[in-house]
Amino acid sequence: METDPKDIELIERFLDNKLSKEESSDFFKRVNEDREFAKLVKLREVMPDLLKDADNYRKIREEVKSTLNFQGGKWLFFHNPAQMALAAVILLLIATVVIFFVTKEHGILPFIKNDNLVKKNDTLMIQKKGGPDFKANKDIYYSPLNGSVFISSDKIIFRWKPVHDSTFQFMIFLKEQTIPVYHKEIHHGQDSILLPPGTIKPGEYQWYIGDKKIKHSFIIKPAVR
Amino acid sequence: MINFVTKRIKPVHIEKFSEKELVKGLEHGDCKIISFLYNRNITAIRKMANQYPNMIFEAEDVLQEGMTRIIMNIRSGKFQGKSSIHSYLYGICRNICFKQFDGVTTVSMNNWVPELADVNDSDYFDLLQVVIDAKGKLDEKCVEIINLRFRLKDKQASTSANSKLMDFEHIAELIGIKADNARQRFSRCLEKLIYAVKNAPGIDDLLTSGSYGN
Repeated sequence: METDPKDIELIERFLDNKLSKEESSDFFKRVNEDREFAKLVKLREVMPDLLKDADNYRKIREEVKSTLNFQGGKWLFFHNPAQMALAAVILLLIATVVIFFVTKEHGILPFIKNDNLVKKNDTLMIQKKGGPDFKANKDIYYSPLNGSVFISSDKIIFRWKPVHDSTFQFMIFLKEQTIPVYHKEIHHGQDSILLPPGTIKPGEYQWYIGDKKIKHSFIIKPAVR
Repeated sequence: MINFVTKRIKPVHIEKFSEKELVKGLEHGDCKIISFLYNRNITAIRKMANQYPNMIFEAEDVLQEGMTRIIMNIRSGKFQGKSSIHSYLYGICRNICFKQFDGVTTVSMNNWVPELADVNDSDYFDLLQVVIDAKGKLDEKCVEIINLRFRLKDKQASTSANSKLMDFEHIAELIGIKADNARQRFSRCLEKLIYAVKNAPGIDDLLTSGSYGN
């Protein structure tokens, strides 16, 4: 038999001392005479503890379950320190092998890099031989040499003798064009600039600092792998 | 999955923990103690469970459930420490098996260890499962108002019966409705729970005694 929610409302009002004297009197009379209602009152009385216990029961069951699954599946393998050490060594070996292959593939370690072009000269720094390549102003020397050829995977360092009393613009143009593909302000005392690989596309270029009338050409070829 | 897991669990010597440590560990949900008890008892429970070909539970599930119940009983103070934890756990597991076997709901007490968990105890846990299922079917608003009224999420709530209840004026403020509407909503929701438990096994014992297993 279904319970009438109105009866529950009545019980709640009784529990909250919201019944009038008459209603209270009727309430007790009904409890004594109506067995179903008396049972409902008792049920209502035990419900908070029942719900609380049910909640605890559910939580404890989940805790026990997760503890046993966790212990069985993961922890107990490592109860023995020797097993734990063995697992650590195996993991270390695996990590070493992985790192070795990854670095080999990406050329992070130069000694195992298998690219012939890069092996030949990873960073090209063209220095003057026996004297300045070009003297634009007093004490300013430029490199690389005019007409140098690089590979797009090369790092190119442009180097010159530093000047302390002036700033210059470092410019790179595509040959015979006027809009620079790369430019940077050179500060007092700066003697070089690094052009990272891939900064400019393969092609024929000209560069200068200070005096735009005096340009130097160089070529970047695509890397062959 | 449980079979796979238990094969890998290494036996631990029984001397490792005293009875007092076991009880305290279970009371606090100590993982080491739970694992230890599982390892210590799983063989015996397997043997017992294998005697019942129609068992619904696997031995691992029986033991897991038994451990849940023993923790509940320790925390509620029902476990008096008159028997060893292992005997008590075995008794609980045996009750679970009995109940599952061909619908038998009462247990012969012959040659029983004196401290076993009794049948009323087992019925009470079935009743709790009924409550869990019924509450799981309620909508969010019902769960919310029931939790509020009974202060089920309020750990600070006093243990005295009156202060356990949150009055509907307060509930109404919290959920933004009128107090009368809150009372009506609560009554409708509680009616669903009461309907689910009023004929469940164990409820009559509970109503007679006021608390389970006493």
